[in-house]
Amino acid sequence: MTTKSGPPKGTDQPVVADAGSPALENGDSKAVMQTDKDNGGPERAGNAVIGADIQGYLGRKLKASYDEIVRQPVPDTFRQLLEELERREKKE
Amino acid sequence: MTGLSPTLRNELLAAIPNLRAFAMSLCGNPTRADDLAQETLMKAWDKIGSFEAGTNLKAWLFTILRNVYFSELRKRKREVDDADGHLVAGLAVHPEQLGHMDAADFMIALQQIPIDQREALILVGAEGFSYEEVAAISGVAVGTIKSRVNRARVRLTEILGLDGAGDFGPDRLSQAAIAPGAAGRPE
Repeated sequence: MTTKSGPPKGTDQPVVADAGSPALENGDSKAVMQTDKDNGGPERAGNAVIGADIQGYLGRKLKASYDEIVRQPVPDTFRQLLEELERREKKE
Repeated sequence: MTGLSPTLRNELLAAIPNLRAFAMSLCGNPTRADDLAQETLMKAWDKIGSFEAGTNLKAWLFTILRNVYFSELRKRKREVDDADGHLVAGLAVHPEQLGHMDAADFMIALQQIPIDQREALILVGAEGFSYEEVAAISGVAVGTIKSRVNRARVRLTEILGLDGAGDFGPDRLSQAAIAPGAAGRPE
């Protein structure tokens, strides 16, 4: 699919109409890069911009949630597995 | 079979909590996460001879885990979709919950973003791997990881309602972009 999307000069023609087309990926229109409206699915959000405050909030939240799992006690099955692996190794 | 040096064995043990957390963030299911982490340990044990001493053991283990997970995902696509669907059903996170949103809520929100974006975000944002390390772990280009992380943040912002319900959400962004003169705006 080849899409030619020249920048519409001084018109109010919605350039987002063909958002999601390869034109967005090949960088031939910098203005279009900024129009990323996320109605077309996850692949389309790449050029959207989020604020530093939100990014900071997400980062802290992610780290805190993840670390909470890291701090959980490791179930005993892991110790048993490692012992089993070591036993097996000694036999060989 | 080469035996494990005590140092390597300790490093392996030390990585288990992180392997569990990574697995849990990927699949969203505690039981399955522990299965994944254990399978990773078994594989790592068998292939420890191919681990290059002095390189990053955690990155090596994470590579094994994600490869196990993704090949399972391909094999059991339908089952997995069902399982994840049950997990997130009816558990959408609303903005008003943010004040007391706990780890579980955040993990549920995380499950709603596409898996490749999720993986990249966890490895960079939670584990603190560099983009280069993540690119090596996931077997894609550095630029791909950067864009996945960015997309993951955008999606999470939407899912969590952090964009202020339209204050500077997609609608306003597109409005600005289609305004006359926007096309000529310098970068």
